[in-house]
Amino acid sequence: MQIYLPIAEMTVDVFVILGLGGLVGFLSGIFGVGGGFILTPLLLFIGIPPPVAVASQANQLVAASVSGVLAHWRRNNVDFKMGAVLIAGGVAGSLFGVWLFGVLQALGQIDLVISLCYVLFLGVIGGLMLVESSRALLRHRSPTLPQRKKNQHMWLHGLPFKMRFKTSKLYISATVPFAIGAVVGILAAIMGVGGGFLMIPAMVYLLGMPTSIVVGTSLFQIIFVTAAVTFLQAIQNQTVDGVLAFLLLLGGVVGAQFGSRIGAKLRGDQLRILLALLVLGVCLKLMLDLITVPDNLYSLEVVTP
Amino acid sequence: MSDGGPQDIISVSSAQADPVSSEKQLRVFLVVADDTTELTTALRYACLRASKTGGRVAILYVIEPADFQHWMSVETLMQSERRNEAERVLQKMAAKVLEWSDHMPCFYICEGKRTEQLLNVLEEDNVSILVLGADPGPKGPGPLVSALSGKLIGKMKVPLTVVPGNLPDEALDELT
Repeated sequence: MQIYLPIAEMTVDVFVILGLGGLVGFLSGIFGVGGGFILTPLLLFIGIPPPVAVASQANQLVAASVSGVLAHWRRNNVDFKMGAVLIAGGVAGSLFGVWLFGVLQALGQIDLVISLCYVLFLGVIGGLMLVESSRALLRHRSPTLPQRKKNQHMWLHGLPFKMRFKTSKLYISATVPFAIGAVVGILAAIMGVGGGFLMIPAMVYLLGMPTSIVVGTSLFQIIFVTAAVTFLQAIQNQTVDGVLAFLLLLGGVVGAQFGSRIGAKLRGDQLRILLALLVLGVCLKLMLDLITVPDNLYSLEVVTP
Repeated sequence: MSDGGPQDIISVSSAQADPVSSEKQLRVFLVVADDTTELTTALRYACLRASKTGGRVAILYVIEPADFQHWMSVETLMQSERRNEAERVLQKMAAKVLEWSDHMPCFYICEGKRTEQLLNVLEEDNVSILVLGADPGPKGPGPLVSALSGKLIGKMKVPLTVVPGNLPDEALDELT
């Protein structure tokens, strides 16, 4: 069954999109990630224009994050004050990101930038995860993993605008969480990802937040930032395709149900290797698409008036 | 609490080495640690009962398993923070137990689902009575009390004492 996507300006099979949404929902159910990292490249593979792919799937993350936050909220694992600072940074970052997106779009370079960003990020993250998990396999017998120390005094603690964060038991400069939020906001605007992979280690190692609070608080930030990105992209760059987003969401909800059941049965280190391989595989495919010479150097289409 | 450093806290199914606790007939009152207010009432009841009947108090702390994290260093840090939190809570409770019953409690630290781990401990160790605090509020007595006095009652190997969380200390003193 073919359906016309009004903003992407192309016709696709409904079931392909539903299937993609389902697949990504399934994966994010298994790995507990928003899935933005996988969904955007997959959308690119089936020919959705990169700007539409990025902007339309940012709102996917809103739904997934809301349900995540509710679970953490019930256990009092959300630091709302810290979340507010992160959101402020995130909104500033996404304003800048969406503006940059528009400029690049006007220059005609946005497709390339999105693909390059993805190759870079997927490569680095997949590689790091693979290194981490293979090291763990080698060191499996000795349980004494060297741990990085937390709460060491660094130059970050000398910054102004100190604030007290009760839930996180921290007294730190608000500029650091603001900056972290801003970076995540830019990423959300340009790549359509929630940025938890970046935000969580930053919150743990740079801010020194307790790990129990980190996940809920980062999800709390992601809700607002991805929502802001969706609105800004729709208003400023007109790249949010409602039909595409709806179909993806529909598939995603169903897929996530199955995924989370399977994810609960796998061990953490197994999951991590699988995820690393998946991320690297997608990265490789994107890179090949960028560097191989296309079959048709010029494309011709019959346009019916 | 000279013998109560974190390194003294022992894990599953190895009750604290103590000459008396090896005797079978010793009554062990098991309390499950959580962050509710009725826990204190249940703990006090268990301590008073234990000291008046020559028994001992044991505390079970179940650590929730850490969710999957992309970065392993974050996940291991999360686990170690939960472990530290468990030991901190048990230290605090141990101080109360020492004050109320003149004995150090036994500790069980398990990882997993609370109900499952609790049933495991009841199965494998010689606990005599399980003491749970009940939330007197409108939301019901709490998940453990509801589960163990409801569907899972058949799996219980020991009697269950439910202490209402709103009993004042004097009432507890009298009752025990």
